[in-house]
Parts: sequence; structure tokens; C-alpha cells
Amino acid sequence: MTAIRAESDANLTVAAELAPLTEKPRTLWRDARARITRSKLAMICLGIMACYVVVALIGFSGLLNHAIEATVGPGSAPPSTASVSLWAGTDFLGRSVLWRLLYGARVALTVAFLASIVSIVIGTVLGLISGYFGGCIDAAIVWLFSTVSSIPWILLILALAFVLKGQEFALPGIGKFTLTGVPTIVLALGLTSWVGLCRYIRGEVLKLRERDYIAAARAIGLRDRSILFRHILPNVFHLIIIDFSLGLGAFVQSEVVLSFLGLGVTDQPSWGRMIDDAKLELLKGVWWQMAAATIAIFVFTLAVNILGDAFRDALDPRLRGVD
Amino acid sequence: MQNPLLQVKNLNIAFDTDRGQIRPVRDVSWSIYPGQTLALVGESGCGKSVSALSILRLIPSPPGRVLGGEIIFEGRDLLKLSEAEMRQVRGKDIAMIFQEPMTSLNPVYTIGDQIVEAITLHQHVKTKEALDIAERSLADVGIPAPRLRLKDYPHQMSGGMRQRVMIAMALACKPKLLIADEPTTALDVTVQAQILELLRKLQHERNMAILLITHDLGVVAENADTVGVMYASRIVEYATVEDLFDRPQHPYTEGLFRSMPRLGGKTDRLETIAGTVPNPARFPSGCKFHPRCPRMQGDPKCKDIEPATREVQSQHWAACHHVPNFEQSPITIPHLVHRRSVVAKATEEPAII
Amino acid sequence: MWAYVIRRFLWTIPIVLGVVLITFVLFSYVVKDPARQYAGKFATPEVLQAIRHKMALDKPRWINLGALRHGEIAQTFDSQFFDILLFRFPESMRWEEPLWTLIQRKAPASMMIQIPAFVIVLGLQLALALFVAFKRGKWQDYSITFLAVLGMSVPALSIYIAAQWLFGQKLGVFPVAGWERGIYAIHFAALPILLSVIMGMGGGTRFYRTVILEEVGADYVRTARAKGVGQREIMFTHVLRNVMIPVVTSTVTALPGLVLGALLLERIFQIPGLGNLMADAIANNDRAIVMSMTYILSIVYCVLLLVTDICYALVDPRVSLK
Repeated sequence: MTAIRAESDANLTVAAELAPLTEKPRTLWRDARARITRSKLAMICLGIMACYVVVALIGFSGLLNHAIEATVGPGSAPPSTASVSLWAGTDFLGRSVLWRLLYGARVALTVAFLASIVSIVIGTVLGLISGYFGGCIDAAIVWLFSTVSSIPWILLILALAFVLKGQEFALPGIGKFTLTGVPTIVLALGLTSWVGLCRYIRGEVLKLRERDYIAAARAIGLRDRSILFRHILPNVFHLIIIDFSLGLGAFVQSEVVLSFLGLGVTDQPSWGRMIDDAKLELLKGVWWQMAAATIAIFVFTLAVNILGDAFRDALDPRLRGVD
Repeated sequence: MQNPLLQVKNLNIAFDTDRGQIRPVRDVSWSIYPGQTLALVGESGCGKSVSALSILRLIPSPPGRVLGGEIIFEGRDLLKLSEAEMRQVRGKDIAMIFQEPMTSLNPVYTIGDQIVEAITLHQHVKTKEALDIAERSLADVGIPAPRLRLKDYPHQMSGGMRQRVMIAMALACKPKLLIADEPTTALDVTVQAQILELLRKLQHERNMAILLITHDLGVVAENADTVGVMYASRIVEYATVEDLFDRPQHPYTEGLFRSMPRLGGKTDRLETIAGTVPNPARFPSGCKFHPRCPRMQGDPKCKDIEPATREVQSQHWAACHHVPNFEQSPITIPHLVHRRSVVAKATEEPAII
Repeated sequence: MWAYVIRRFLWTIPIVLGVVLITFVLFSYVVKDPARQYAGKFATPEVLQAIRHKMALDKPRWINLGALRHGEIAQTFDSQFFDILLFRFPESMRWEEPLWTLIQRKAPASMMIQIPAFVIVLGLQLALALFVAFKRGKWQDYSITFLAVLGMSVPALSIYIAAQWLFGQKLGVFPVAGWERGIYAIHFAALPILLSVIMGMGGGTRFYRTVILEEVGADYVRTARAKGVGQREIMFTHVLRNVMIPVVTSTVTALPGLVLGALLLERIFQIPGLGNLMADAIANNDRAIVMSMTYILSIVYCVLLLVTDICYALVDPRVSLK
């Protein structure tokens, strides 16, 4: 017995001599952030996104309000280096395509961000509730999203945009208002795009619910609401981020389609409208408005997709090793 | 003297990860003789599975790379064979079974299909005859009603049955060497005993060599003839199983034995080896075990120089500066011709789980 | 297996009811006054009433209690809700013929483009994804994946319009727009099909590549390799069968994309198909057609999802015995 004791003491002494933990523990977030910042491509895309946000903010600031309506040259003039306003040519009314293009960023990003928020809020809340509480609530929500996803999404968006367009709503305290343009699109997109995220979150919550630390939290008397917000939500947050980044591109593209079909933004210049106008212009050989809008959308969607992929690779531990 | 069936010489493998290069196998050498069971023991991450996979060249090639060394099987260096030649070896001369019987079988094909595939790959037989061979293989591993089982899908069987199917599939072409990578880790203890006994029996019948990868010293004691202890990607001790248990030379091996709970004695706490297994991306300098070693006593040699695997006693290799006569011991490839006599079991076959 | 099929079938019923509910609520509640919306601000009450009748808005919303009270059981179901459920759609404001003949007339044009495009895209995507997974890590992998991401990021609309201009007007290879019956339709369908295929390739290829790579990394592939199975065998026998399961699902869930493609292409190329019908209806505020098309296509989609799940049971032996 004594011999064993002596050896254990020796072990303990050795243990004391071990160097203390000098590096920060690796968490999913720190790991992910490191991976993303290390990838040059991801950083470039982040930079591009930042540029778009800045341009959108310029649009919001009102600096462009005059420029988008001012006539800067003859109608349908090709791009020229004569002045900054003419870098992208003019539209059929002689307005600067460049300024309208920059303003379009405001519309596009507004639609994308707001629609994302709407769909994420709905999807997250429903996913958390149905996954956590189970039972009838779960059955009801599963039925709801199964039904919504049984309608082909374009049809749903179109139907929603169709019925919301020009509708008058009376809300107590706010008064009457009519839905046109951006709010219609935001609602139409937001109310239809939450299903995917809801499914993922529900699946994740179902798994998390069985974990021991949730049982421990309940055992010490935490209320369900606290458990949901402090323990479960942070653990599904990565799904939200991935969904958000991948959704931005899809929403901007949807705006284009909606504008083309007449359900989009009608009162402000938007990229979708510019492409829609272009289909007539092209026959006359006027290509610059469509090209400008296409490039703007393309670069944005590309950057967002690459970034979204990078987020997904960094945040979803299961997927590492595939790329 | 008999030639070894398989001899690994100075094998070095690297993995390129986005965190830098890690070396899961560093200068590893061992030999195995026909009919012998060599056990490779070590904790998770010490490189034993990687070295086993590399024999059949199953390491995915990005990101893994063989940096050097030889794997001599029946006179040929397996590392130099073409892919087509390697495919001839796999399943026929050398077979492998894996840890997870749940996922190691294709879920959408019957087990009959999968065993027949193994057979028809290497033998020129018609499907009907292959099915007969498959049936016999299943019977050999103790599966009742084998003909009916051929039509089953993997998910219809229990873990123990699936592992038996894996063994049947691996042995269908009568390989000379079976690599068993932690074959029983995922199974219940009772099933574990049955599977290991099955392997012993088949080995005895066919004079087949087995490379047994495990982390369980109990499994080693019962099944191995020779043992290689791995730590931090290297072989730190190599001996016959009796020698290893009687006279362990390396402090890590000693630590492993000390930490095993003992029947009969009463202690308050189980012994552990102080510290943790090192991160392969950040090995300590010199001897990789020195931060945890009770023998070190501040000796700078342990911190600076990594000890090679030397034959410190006859038929016993170790890699530690503090083994007596370490410097003078020769560096040779570990090889041991040794086989325990198999004690035949007089009890009847227990029920198949 | 039959237990699964029956269960799945039963689950479709509440889903279909839900679809009806959503359609109904959207078009009859959210839209405050369809008749007025169509007729405009200056319509007289008689005109409004006539329009209401044509839109079947003068029927009770959910259930005809009046008829029930009079003892006419069959007439109880003469309400707006049941109209939709039973496919009794109100007539369109614009077209004179009943909806069903309208659909029958327009469907072939759409099918001629969408079906070939769908089949070609599926085949090409799978082949390309297998190839890319095979060459994982090499230049073919990176370049094709990169192209796929590019393809997914370009707004399809621009490509369609540009292609129409380039190949139709400028180069004259394909007709700019229009349609003709019978065999001559190929001439008009060619460019839309081509465009549909090109734009549809990107997303699927990437998705299938991921799926294939996940399977290729699976344990059973390692076992097959350890048995001596060659790479090609592994891909086509072992991996493909397992890949079929997500492929089948994603194929069906890609069908809404066809609807979108039809909408855009038919509009741009003036093809008299269902997509153009829908786009027209939207532009002209034709509630009847938008509502009925939404509903019909949703039901079709539901049925297809049901069929997919049943196909699951055929492809994946694990499902039958759940």
C-alpha cells in the first residue's frame, strides 16, 4: 500500500510541474472565426458585402434622391467617360443609370435584410417551440410547415404578393395603410421562406432536448423560457447564420423575378425593374442598363453565396472533411 | 529462421490538415509471423489505426501521404504496388474488419450480396457457387440458418451478428493476414468475448495471422502473442505478451498496467497516468512522454532527444533513455516468432447474440 | 411496407386540407373585396353584383347553413370553401372558356419544354457530380464547382433576355419568340430548353457532389475498398444506390423551380403555356386563375411528394420495416 502511495505522490509532483493551460479553449465560434478570417476568399466577400451595405446606406441618406431623377444626358445614351453620371449610360428618359444602380442597392438590401429577419424570426420561434415542447404544439407546427412547403414556393410568393398588393389594412393605433412596393415583397418573401430554417432548428432542438445539460437545467428549476433562450438558442445559432447568409442572395434574386412579373417595387428604382425595362431596350441595342443591374446582382449573390458556404463549412462540424 | 509474413519498416505517414501537418505514424516498425497474433495497443489518437489502414493503402490520399518506409508482405513492398495490384491483395491475401459493424456494411444491399461480392472479386466462381461459399462462411462464424440470413439486410441484425458477418466476409477468400481494427469496442462485453473467441478459433483452424488493434489490455492478455505499445505515433515497447506483462520496460506501459483496476485489492482511487495525451499537432520535444513520466527526474536528455526503439533485452524492445543499457542496445526491427499454445475450450457454444 | 404507404397516404389528407385552407384564406380573406378590386372605384352596384356572382363571391364562405336549414343536404357544400376543395373554380374574368379546358389547351406547350429540360438536367447533374466527386481535390473539381457557383449567382432573367437577344435577334439561330403546334414546336422550344438546362445545372451539381462525397467517406465504402473493390465499382454500385435516396427527394423538391422557369421563359419567349397563363393572370389581376393555378399545382406537388416518399420505400430497405 505504501509503495503505491509513494508512487502516486510522485505522480502528483510531476503533475504540478506540468505547464498550465496556456491557450484559450477552442470553441465552435472561435474556431469558425479563425477559419473564416484565414480564408482570403471569405474576407474578400465580406469586404464586398460591406461595400454594398455602404452604398445602400448612401441610398438611405437621401444623397441620391435628386440624382436618380435628374436628366443627365440624352435618352438611351451609351456609357461614356464624359462625366461620372454617364459611366453606365442613361436610361430611356435620360436618367443616369449609375445613380439609379447605386440606389437600387438600397432597395435590394432592404428587401433582403427585412425579408430575412421576418423569415428567421418566424422560423426560429416556431422551430424552437415545436422542437422543445413537443406534443400537440409540435404536431400543429409540423402540419403548418408541411402544408406551406407543399405549395411550390414561387406559387406561394406570387400568390401572397398578388393578394397583398394594393391591399388596405387598418391597424389599431397606426391607421390605414396600403401595401405597395417594398413592404409587400418583404412580407411575401418573409412569410414563405421560414420553412427550411424551422425544420433545421426543430431537428436540432429535438436532439438537444435529450442532452444532459438540459435535464440539469430543468433539475435546478430553470423555467422553459430561460432554457430556450440561454441554453438552446445559442446552440442553434449557427443554423440561423447559415440560413441568413444563404438567404440574402435568394431574396435579391426573387425581387428580380417579382419585378419582372409586375409584383415588385414600382415606386423606386430597383435592379429588378432595371432588368425588366431592359427587355424592351435590348431590342434597340441598348444593353447597359441590364448589364449594370445584372453585374450588381451577380457580384452580390456570388459574394453572399461564397460567404454562406464559408460560414457553413466553418460552423457545421459535420460537414468538415467534405471540402 | 522463419520469414515474417508482414514486416513494416520505418513507416512514416503525414496528414496535411488546415492546421498544419501532423504525423500520425512516425518511424514505426514491426513484424508479424504466420499464424501469430500481434496486438497494437495504445490510447485513441496514438496512430495505431492509421498504421493498420496504411498496410492496405486505405489512407485517403489527400490529405494523407506516406512519407517513407516499407511494408514487405511475402517479399513484396506493398507501398510500391500499383493500385490494381493492391486490389488483388485486398480481401484475398490480407483482409480487414473494422470497429463499427453498424456503418461498415452497405445498408441498401443484402449481406448475401456483399459477401458474394467479396468472393467473386477474387475467385472465378459462378454466383450460385459463390452463394454456397457465402453460406459456408456464415456457418463458420456461427450464424444459425445461414442460407436464410443471406437475404437479410444489415439493419435487420444485431451488432454482434453484423460483426460476425464482417468476419465471414473478410475470411471468405481465406486471407493469410486479418487486420482487426478494434473489432469489439462497439459491442457488449459478452458479445466481445464471443467474437474474440471466434477469431481465435478461426485463426487456429486456418493458421492465419491477426493484427489486432485495441486499447484494452485485457483483450491483449487473452488474445495476443506479441504486443506493440504505441504512444504519440511511435512504438515505445514491443515484446511477447508474457514478457510485456511480467517485465514492462517503458514507463508508459508501466503506467497502463498500474491504472488497471485489480480484483481483490481495495483502493480509494484508481491510479492514473498524470497529464494528457499530447496533441499531435504540437508534440513536446524529445521523448513525447517526458511531461508525464515519473522516471524523468529532470533529465535533460529526455527533453531533448527522442529515444529510438532499441532491443534492450533479448526479444524485447523499448524506447526509453532510462532503461538499463539503453545506449548500447541495437536498433533493430522488432520481430518475434512466438505463438502461445491455444487452450481448447471444453465448454459448449453459447447462444449467438 | 404497406403500413408505411398507408400511413404516408393518411398524412397527405391533413396536408391537402391545409393547402385548401391557405389558398382559401389568402384569396378570400386577405383580399378584402376582389370584386371591387377588379371592377375599380367607379363601378356601379349592378356591375359589382354581376362580378360577384361570376366570382362566386355571393356564396357563403365556409358552409351553406341556409341550405342546411332548408334540409337540402347536398347544397350544404355549396360554399366558397368547398368550391375550392372540390375543384369547382369560379370562371376567369378574362377567358371565356372554363378553366379546365383552358388548362388542357395550354399544358402541352409547357410540358414540351419543362419535361425534356428536367430529364436532361437531372442526367447531366448526376453525371457531372459523380465525375467531380471522382476527381475530388483536382483541378476538374475546383473549376466545375466554381462554375456551378457562378451559374447559381447570375440572375436567370438576365441570361434569358440576353440569350433571346443574342441568339434570336443578333445571330438569328433561334426564333425570337412564338410557338407553333406539332413538330415545328421543337424549333421554338429549343432555346428555352437549352437555357433551362444551363441555368438549372449549378445548384443540383453542387448538392449532389456534397451528397456523393458524404457517401464516399462512409464506412461501408472503406469496407468495400478493403475487400478489393475498384473505384468505379464503388461509385456506381455502392455509392450510387445510397445516393439515390437524397437524389429522389431533391429531384421532387426541385419541381417548383420548373414552375418558375416556365413562368420566366414562357413570358419572355411568348410561349402559350401554363406559365404564361399564370403570368398574364397576375398582370391582369385575374384572381380566379391565380387562385386555381396555385391550388391545382399545389395538389399536384403534394401528390408528387407522396409518390417520392413511396419511392423511398422501394429504394431504401430500411424504410419498409420502420
